[in-house]
Amino acid sequence: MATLAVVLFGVLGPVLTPYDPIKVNMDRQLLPPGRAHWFGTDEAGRDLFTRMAHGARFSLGSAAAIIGLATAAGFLIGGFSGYLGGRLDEAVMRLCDLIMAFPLLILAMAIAIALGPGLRSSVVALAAAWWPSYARLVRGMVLILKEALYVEAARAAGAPAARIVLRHILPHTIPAVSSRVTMDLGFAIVASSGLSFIGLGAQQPTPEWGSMIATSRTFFMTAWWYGLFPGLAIFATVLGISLVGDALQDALDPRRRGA
Amino acid sequence: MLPFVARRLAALVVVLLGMSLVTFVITNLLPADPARVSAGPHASNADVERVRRELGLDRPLYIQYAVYVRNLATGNLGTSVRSRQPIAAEIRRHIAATVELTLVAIVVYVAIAVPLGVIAAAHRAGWVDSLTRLGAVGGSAVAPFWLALLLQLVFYRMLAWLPAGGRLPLDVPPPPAVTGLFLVDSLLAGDLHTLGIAARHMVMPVTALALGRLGLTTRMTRAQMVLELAQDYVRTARAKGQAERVVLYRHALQNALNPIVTMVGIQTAYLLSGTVLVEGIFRWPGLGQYALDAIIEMDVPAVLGVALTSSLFFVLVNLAVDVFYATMDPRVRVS
Repeated sequence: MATLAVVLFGVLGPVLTPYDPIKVNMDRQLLPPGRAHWFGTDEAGRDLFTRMAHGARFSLGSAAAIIGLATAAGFLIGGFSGYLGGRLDEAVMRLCDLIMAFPLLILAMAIAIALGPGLRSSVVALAAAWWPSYARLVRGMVLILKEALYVEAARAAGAPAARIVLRHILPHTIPAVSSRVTMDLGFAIVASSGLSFIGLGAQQPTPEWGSMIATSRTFFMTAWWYGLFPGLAIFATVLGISLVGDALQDALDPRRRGA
Repeated sequence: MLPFVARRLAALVVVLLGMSLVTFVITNLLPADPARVSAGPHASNADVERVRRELGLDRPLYIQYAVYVRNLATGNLGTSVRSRQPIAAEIRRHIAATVELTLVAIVVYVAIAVPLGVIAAAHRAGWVDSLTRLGAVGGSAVAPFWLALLLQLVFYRMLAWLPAGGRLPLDVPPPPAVTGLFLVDSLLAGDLHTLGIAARHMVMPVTALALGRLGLTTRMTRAQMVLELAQDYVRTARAKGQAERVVLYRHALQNALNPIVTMVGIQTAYLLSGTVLVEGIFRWPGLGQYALDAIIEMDVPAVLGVALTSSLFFVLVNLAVDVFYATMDPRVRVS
């Protein structure tokens, strides 16, 4: 429900409010929440409700892009690595170990600054730090699945490796990966807003939640509403997503039912 | 025991080499030509070529990497673009503050989470259990930097209970440096006054870092304890008439501890990531603050230095976890 509300907020919010998320309005600086501005205004007189509604797109969108890229890479790399085995598999797994030896956000920070700050490089950086956990998950399942009789049958029928992996093996890994995805989406929102907060993600005046909180720091002691609402938005969104993820996991895994 | 530690240390060297390879690749991601950047915006092409030769950037990549590793091995992290100072020296000045913050955060949340998890497991579906379930989901949804700002707003601005930031006020001299950790150093110096002040300065940063980890660790402890409590030896202990407290903490918890300790080791990654987000808000003069300043000035080598240093710390914590296991559980040493 909460997730649906945030998506609705992101889709309908921009339509519902009469204000512009970027345009500066100097005679309405830092107004507290009131009837005209539900969440108040920022230092440039912009309506925070409007900015947050527009920001939902950036925050949800970049989280989806991060996890989308990471799972795509995880499926392909983990799938083929597990299926083909041998030296390649060994090398890929050692690479995963290495990347996972770094704290995720710290590695992403290093990659993002090397690529140059911006929403796109923060997405790429987080995905680059994130894919190994998916590759490992997928590979582990592929190792078991590739011994299955139907895979052997496909191989005996002369199907090429690419077809076996993509058509016969990977689809079976989707349920497990998707329950992981719903958990990670929330973390991705926190992580990408974190990169924006330290100045490596979305740049002003883009109404991204993390960068809004970063700018609010200067005014937070006097204008409490400025940083409060974007943070609440992150909280509500991530909470909603992880509750959905929990429910999904319970539904997909019979062993967890009633536990 | 010793061969085990030696094996782990050998593995550590391999990991460090690999990590240096990762950061080396990242350095070479830079869209800009590093020679041109160092030579300055008004350099002629000949100047750029000269700088390229001086920096060794004209040599093949594998030789550049070898030089890079040799530098790292001697503790040379390069020169800061911003201050023209050796990065290693700057990081050395900042590292103790972050290590202290992270270690205290670990101690605090473990000291709270493990007993809570035991209680939740002992009284399943009780109020502690429900509360920690909520806390686990809620805690991981809070962005640590936002939590830090809220804490500052409430406990500094509104209630004035806690200092806004820093490790110590300007008029309090830091304790004589032994470990660089103010809590330990002031204790060693017998200076309880400074200890108290330093501890008060840690309350908000530690809370902002650890709160998100608290719930998860509680749930993990609970899950492990539930498994252990279903074992035969627990029934035997109870049948013997052991006090429930002894059954819980001496028998079950000791066996449940291994996975919990692993989890705590891995969670250090989140705490270290958190320091980058939180230290700046509390003007905590650690690696996170240093990274933040470096990011503002686009000082890429300095940021990479921080990444390497805090990853090294992370790897060392996990090495300590491994050694801890081996001492606790003889089965680990053999495999």
